Amino acid sequence: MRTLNLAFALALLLSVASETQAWPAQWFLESCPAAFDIEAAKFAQAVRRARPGSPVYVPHPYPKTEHAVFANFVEQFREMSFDDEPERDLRALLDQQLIRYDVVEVAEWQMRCRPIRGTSDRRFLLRLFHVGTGEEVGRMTLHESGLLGTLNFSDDGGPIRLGDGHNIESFDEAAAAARAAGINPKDLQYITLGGGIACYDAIPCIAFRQGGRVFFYRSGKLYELEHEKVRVDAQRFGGETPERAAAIKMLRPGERFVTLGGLNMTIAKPIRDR
Amino acid sequence: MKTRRRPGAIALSLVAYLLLGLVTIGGCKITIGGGGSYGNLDLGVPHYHQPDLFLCGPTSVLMWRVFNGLSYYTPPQLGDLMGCPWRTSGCSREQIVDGARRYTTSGYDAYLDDYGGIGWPDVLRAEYMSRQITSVNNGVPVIAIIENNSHAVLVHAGNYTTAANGLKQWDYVKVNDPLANGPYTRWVAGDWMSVNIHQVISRAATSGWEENFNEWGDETQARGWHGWPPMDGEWPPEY
Repeated sequence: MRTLNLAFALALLLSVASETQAWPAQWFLESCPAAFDIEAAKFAQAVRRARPGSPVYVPHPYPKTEHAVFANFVEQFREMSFDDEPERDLRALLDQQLIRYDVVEVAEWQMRCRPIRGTSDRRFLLRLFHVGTGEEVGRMTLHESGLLGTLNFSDDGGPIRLGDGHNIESFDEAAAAARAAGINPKDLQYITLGGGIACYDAIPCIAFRQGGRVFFYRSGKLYELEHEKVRVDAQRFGGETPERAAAIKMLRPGERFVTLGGLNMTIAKPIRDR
Repeated sequence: MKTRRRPGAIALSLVAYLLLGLVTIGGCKITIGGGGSYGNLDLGVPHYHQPDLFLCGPTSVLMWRVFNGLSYYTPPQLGDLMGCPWRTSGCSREQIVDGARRYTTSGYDAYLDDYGGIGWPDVLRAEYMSRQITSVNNGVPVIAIIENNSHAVLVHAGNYTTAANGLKQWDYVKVNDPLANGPYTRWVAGDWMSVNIHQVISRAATSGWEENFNEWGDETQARGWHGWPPMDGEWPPEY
């Protein structure tokens, strides 16, 4: 009996441990105004209180484990109807239990301050693979609440990728590129980023820092952010405004404006290898 | 006597429009798929990839243009015609509006629409989305400016189901994203509403959105959005 109790306690502990798995802390260069935090708290409350049938119901609100992220996806995916082949194929693979998955956490530097969900710090990138062939059959993104965001499939049956052929960045490659440039990278994390460099949620970039300097890696290239020197309001930059005209004049060859996650953009400057 | 315009009857006409879309475009066919109250609306707009990171605006206009049966330009050609500084910084919102006016036919009266203004935020948001779905329902795509003004995509389709609570539920939009994902990007409604901050939309194509909103809004909700429809007693004040 004692053995059974111990086994039960151990199983319970393991279960609790897996449910309380924490995601690593992510770091940001901008915060959202307080109103966005209030909106986020209201949204979180609605999600946590939601019951089946609610448009914001997920079985695992604000998931803490990879399995919970996947389970949230499956629940929502099964409730929706699809007319296209990629979704039908995926549904069949799920029915046959021929899908394995990988979850990548992504810090929101593209649009952290959202009008209807408030401050949104992270997204989950859920990569789905065919168990038999090993091919990636779809790439889903979920809001930190566990609610499904986007469903992405390749348009030609091949892997999901950028126009330049890049698929998913590797921490090892990013760190190696940094060291080759004389940078000792710390706190590597996946990020979304908007603007002149493609780092969106299905194909994120990797950010890291060294002291007060901040860098990111995309498609074999390194960029340094000028966030301490240059900040331009993203809303103003998007329109025909004096701020936009002045900002564009600041750019040197190879430089691009990118979002910082909050309400501003800054310049990303390419780094050359030593 | 003044008739109060009930915001609930206004909101997610998105779904309503999808439903209407089935009726009008789908040949009075309410049920698509197996057994349930499923529906979709898909204009079948051709997809093109943007060859440069700053050509999302011209490429979105190009998709709209070719859908209208007009001749093909390369995205850089169209970017130059639109006057966009795409080699350094991309198009402004106004340049995309101007491009839709000049280089499509059904976008001849395009304007820049956003969800701001004076009023109850949830209502304004729902009205904004209602205009978007109305346009698609009327056969005219919409260019959505998303993610902190950093990207433009073309909205051309959507889908709904019936939720467990009996309401029509707008589930997702299909967008032609010129960047990477090709024609197979689905954006779930609530998430879409949280990133879509401006739209380039035809004024004529949104004709009738308020009536549709009033008629259908009470019966619809959006997956992933808790702001609509409000619970009884939580209606915003008349304005």
